[in-house]
Amino acid sequence: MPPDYLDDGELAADAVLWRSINPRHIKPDLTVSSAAYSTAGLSVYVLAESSVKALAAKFPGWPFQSFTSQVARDAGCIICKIPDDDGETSHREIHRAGNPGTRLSKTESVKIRDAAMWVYHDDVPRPAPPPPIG
Amino acid sequence: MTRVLSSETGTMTQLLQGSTWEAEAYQHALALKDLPDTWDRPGSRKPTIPAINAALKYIEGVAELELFVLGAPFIAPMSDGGVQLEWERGQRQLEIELLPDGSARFLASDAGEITEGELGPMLSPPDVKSLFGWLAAAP
Repeated sequence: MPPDYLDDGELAADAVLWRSINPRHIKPDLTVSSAAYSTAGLSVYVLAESSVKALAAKFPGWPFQSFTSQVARDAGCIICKIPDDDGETSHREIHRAGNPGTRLSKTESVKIRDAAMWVYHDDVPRPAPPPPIG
Repeated sequence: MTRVLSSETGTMTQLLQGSTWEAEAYQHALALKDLPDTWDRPGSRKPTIPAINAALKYIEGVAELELFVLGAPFIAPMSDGGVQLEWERGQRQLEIELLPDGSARFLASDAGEITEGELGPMLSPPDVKSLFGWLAAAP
């Protein structure tokens, strides 16, 4: 049975969402490719419902970016409370409001990417230039 | 001439390239074929051969424009098996996304104003000239 894609109405507009960033999506100038945000069901975590250490442990070696739930909604998306594969309930999936389950449009991905900021925290890896080819 | 990655042998025909960044871009794009399926998150796919071949065609097509103000693209794998090429100049950004089936679409952004569209399955020189001419003309 397909999941119900309903916006998590209890999630405040200023709730902080964390997105782990694959190092392959980090450009040499430490900006991020929109490819990092271009997926179906963009996986994020609500920081207030988890902890920095727990999130860092889920993605060893990967830095994080953060943005608020308002950013995703302003981009035309809904934020769905769907546990991750480990049952983590702080997890949310960001879906297209008009067509949930499909990949975010390029415009939606870019809008979220442009608003997201790097997380600088002692327990989180800092962003680094991309690894060498091969 | 185009570099083509064989889906049967995984080998590639060696061809000459003229642009200073072209060889490096080919190398980046070709390296994507060696990514493991688990390169990103659960459920992700490594770039498909049609997507990589389309990326090679676009790299070649852009290099042939000889717009010397443009440098090498940033080349990113997509979690669904596609490949994305990204160029920036000033406030302007141009992304060419090659989908897993080899078709293409673009996003052009100028100081936050965004336009996106389809490019079709075949590389169209007028489309490429128009898009990259716009990018090269960035103030």
